[in-house]
Amino acid sequence: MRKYNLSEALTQLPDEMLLEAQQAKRKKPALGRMLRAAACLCVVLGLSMWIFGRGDGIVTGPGLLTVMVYAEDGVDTQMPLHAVSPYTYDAWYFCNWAPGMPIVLSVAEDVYASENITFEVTTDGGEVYVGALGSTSIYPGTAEKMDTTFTVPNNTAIFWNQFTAGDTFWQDTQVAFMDIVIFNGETVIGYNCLRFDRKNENSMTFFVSMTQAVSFDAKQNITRDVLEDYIEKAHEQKKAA
Amino acid sequence: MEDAQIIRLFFERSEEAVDRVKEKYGRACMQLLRNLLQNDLDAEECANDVYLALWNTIPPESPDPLLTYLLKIARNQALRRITYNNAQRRGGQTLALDELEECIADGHSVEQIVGGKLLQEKIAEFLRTLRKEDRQLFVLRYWYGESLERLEEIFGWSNSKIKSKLFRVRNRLREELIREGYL
Repeated sequence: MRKYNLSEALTQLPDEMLLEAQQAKRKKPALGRMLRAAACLCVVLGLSMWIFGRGDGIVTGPGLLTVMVYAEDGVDTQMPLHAVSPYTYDAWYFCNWAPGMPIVLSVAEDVYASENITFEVTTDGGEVYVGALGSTSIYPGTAEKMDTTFTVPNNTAIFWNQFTAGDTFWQDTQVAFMDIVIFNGETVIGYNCLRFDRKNENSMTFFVSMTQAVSFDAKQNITRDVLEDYIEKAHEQKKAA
Repeated sequence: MEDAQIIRLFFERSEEAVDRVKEKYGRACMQLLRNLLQNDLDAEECANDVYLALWNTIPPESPDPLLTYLLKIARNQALRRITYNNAQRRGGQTLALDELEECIADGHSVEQIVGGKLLQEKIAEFLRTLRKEDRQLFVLRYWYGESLERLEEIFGWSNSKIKSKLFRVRNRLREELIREGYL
């Protein structure tokens, strides 16, 4: 008496059924791999959120700001839209006279309605000039020197130079930061930071780089207090770096 | 390497053909043998017989797909080994196969169901009536000899759900065989 007749009969199952069953074996581990990959992604995202929004619960996205820098060497460089910091700008600018290095700030109109966008610019070193408010011209004719914090509309050319208020010597500023907070109406939607570095100790040439470029979901209702706390931490990280 | 190229090597009587098969499908073959035989030593010995059978049957055979052809040979070899082991009272539990045979052994003579090709076709026809997942479950359990734990992983179902599904399918198969006069 043979025990495994049914099993033997089963051996000759059609190939497609055997392959179909194999598919199930392959499919499910793939699902497992996907779950593992998703778990890893969650860890990475979690870490990113922790790093960028440490302590303040701010969730950030890619930057919104396009910065067009006009260089002395004739190579105009556009810092990429939605840049992920840091972004280093290799061109240079001779910053020994006003108004200084032209920098055009803009947010793409397909992201937000252009007319609602404003930038709040703050510098901790050097001077900033603005031509006719909202003008993108890098030859402003007459330009107005701004306070250390000021607001300009979308698509505005601003000018930075190395002098600080009351200084007459050009060597004063070695490193300066420019914080740019992006508003859509009254809502904070983004934050960028530019860093200006003197090429070497006695040089009048500066390099500029984008050290931070993030956006915020409007639904987060980021208040100015929260943002200032965020910027302060971002500065600490930048200085530590 | 593509199956067709491997088959060509067999036809050229190149021993590389066996190496390529081992490389491509050796793992699947060993897994099946281990599942059915529940013994690594037996599985390894059986695997050698499988590759020899493959060498002896290609040519004239030119199987497409090669994988299922190989696995069918492996399954046949495993069943022979189980029968031999049982005859020699060498033990060796094959839980999945025993489970399947139970569905026909209850009050019926095993010899009654030996219907060769007709029975094979009947089983295939029955399996086609099942839902895809149930069919996959049945084939993985009773053809590939996968353990219940492995099936839990594959389907993401609980142990009890898998057992009850298999139970229902076995019963349906039994009813079908009775209805068709095989039992």
